[in-house]
Amino acid sequence: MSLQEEIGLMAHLMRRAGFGDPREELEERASKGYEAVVEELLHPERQAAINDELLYRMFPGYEGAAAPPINQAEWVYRMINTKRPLEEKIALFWHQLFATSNSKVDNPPELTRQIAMFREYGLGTYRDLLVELAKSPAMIFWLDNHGNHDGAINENWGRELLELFSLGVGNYAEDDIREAARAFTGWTIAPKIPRNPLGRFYWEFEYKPEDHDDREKTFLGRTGNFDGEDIVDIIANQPATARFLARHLYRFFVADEPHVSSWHVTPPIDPDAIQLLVDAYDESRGDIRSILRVLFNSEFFKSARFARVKCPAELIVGTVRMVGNYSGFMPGFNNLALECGWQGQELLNPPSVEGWHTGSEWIDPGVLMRRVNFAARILGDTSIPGVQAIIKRVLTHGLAEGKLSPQAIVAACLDTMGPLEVSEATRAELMAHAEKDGELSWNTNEELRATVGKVSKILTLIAASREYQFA
Amino acid sequence: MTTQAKVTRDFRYDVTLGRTNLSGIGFRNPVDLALGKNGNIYVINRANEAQPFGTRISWLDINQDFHGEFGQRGNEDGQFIWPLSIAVAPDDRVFVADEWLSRIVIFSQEGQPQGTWGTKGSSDGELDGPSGLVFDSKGNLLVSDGNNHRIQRFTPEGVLISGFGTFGAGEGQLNQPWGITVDVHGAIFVADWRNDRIQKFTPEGQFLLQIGTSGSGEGQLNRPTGVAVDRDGDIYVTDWLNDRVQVFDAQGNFVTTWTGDANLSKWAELQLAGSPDVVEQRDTVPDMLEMEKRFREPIAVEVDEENRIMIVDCRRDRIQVYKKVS
Repeated sequence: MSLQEEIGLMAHLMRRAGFGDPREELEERASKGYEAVVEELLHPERQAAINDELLYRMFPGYEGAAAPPINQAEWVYRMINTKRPLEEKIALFWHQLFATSNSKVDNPPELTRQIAMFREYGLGTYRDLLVELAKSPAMIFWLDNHGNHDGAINENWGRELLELFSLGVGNYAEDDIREAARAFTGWTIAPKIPRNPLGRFYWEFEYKPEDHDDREKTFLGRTGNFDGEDIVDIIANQPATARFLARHLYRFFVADEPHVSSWHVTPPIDPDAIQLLVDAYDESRGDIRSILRVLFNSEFFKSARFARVKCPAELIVGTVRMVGNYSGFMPGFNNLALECGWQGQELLNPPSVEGWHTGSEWIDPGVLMRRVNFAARILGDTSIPGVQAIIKRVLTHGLAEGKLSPQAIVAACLDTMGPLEVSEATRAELMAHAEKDGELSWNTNEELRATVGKVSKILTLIAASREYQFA
Repeated sequence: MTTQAKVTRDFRYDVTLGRTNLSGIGFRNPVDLALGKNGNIYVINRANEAQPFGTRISWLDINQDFHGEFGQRGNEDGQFIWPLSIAVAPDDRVFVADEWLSRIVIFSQEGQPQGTWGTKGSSDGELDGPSGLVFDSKGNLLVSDGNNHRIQRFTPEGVLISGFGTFGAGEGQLNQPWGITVDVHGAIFVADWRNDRIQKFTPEGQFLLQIGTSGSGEGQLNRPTGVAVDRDGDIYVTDWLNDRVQVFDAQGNFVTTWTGDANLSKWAELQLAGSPDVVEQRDTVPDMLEMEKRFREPIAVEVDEENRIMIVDCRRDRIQVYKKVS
């Protein structure tokens, strides 16, 4: 594989396992070798964590966030500045799968704490993650398990646990929902301190044995005096769970798939890939890190470039990271968080328990305009050091001759912004624009100024291209 | 509640000021306070970008009479982006350090903008993230120049007089200094934030004493943010990440620890009086008063003429006040 191809593959990996990287970092990663980088990503604990004390010193409102989008801004800060990209990406994956929304929970700090739990458990076993999820006060409130009592069950959590979080429709009966709900009676939240007059307090999980139905239950064909953890143990060992999780991982990390609601009648687009992930689940006893190792090193992943529409967080964070902007503490993260919402992904406030509808559903004409304008505004701002660095790098392609042909300009811009692969139609449009400007040179300050403006224009056109919308 | 100190001092919890609120009577992420003449108390509300109208200075007194608020988010005259420290000059003007714009914003006693000074940089007289302010006995302004890891002394007009401190962990060196105060003899005390200690200097900046080491035990500190000294020489430190305040004697010996004793302030009671549903919910929480009274990230401390120790309890949007009885 040529160096150029290695960098292209690394760019693909980092778009999926993270939020993209500036070109220089891609080259540095590529020099380590693909599999070594995969291993590095799978072990975020080997990289420095975000320094929370500095974060909360500079943004004292983040901890115990009084209201959205303060907590969203904190997460965007972490996505941009993390040295552990997969840790944030897997947290986003679980947030999409276990969608919990502030619209009902109305406690931003608790949602932030749930995301922190995803960081901590997100690459461990599915079983442990589900147990933690069941204890998450935000989830308990979101799916009403605080109202699930011995003798007066509320099935909401039990139902979604089976339908949306593990087995999927068609792999359980209504009786199983009821029995699961019984097993989770007594899993509740300690009485909550109201938000006024002293601001937000965290909520705490509380197990109330006196409210737990300890009688015999029959769940998925097994009988016993099951508690919630027993239910999770049974779920985690179901073939349907492995398949369900495999499809979710494929959809998030590999390629767009139809919405989950149709999975019981729509087969996967790549059944062999799903089977490989199911096998990895079985062999590792549901260890997410092991399954992702198989996924990232597979040929189906490596060949699935630009096969997913970027979610708003990927588009926004990826664009900002590409130009090295918002690196460190500064004002502005609030607007980036709001931008995610304006593009249809209000973090920590998904529209329903089903999460966001992804793929092409991220884009409608109004949102497309926002997405294009956002990326074009960043890449067209030649005052940003990272944009200047991109332009400088583009110009180095013509250093020997002191000039660049239109064809070379387009090729250099596409290379520096990705490398990005575009269709012939897109390339032709870019060429048409570049040819209007003719050859670019920078022998005088005046020429340099004009050239910077023209290269910047090509960068914004690429940001506006169809291909830039894909990861 | 009365706290019996290890050495011969009696401290008493006195009162709590404030409640959570984005404007008017209440605070949002208060980060510092300053004491003016006639009992004036000025409190910086840092707030956040999502609630920019919450960034302001509240003006009140110990009786919780609210006199107004001034300043707002922005980079014009009378505005700030990330206000962090506040001090009242001998002529009653109010000085605020903006750690994002690296400048000092000046207001009249009543909050009228009176200009700004300060340039971002690391050369002598420039600032990078000013994090602490105090006026010395001659009416000059000492500034903790946080990201430059030094202390600089300016005239109130912003003319550099002197400076001391370099980056490091040795005696007299600093790592992101934050709160700063002077005692009645002119000695300078600095919360050496990332070195987990308080350092005492002569008025000229010569190292005298270190108080505290890293940790959570008695006399140890975890990212101290604020420091104040009373007229007897006792030293009060907001031990930020340990969620407590520690008291030391003039020689740096540990005296006592406070973890918080707050009850509801007058302003909070006022709010509850109009919210019976909240009162009802509060009644369902066992041990709520125990949880509520604790400090959560105490961030700044001042002592007034009557030996009242006022502690800014950042995450709980309030000020807890203790009193030294003897």
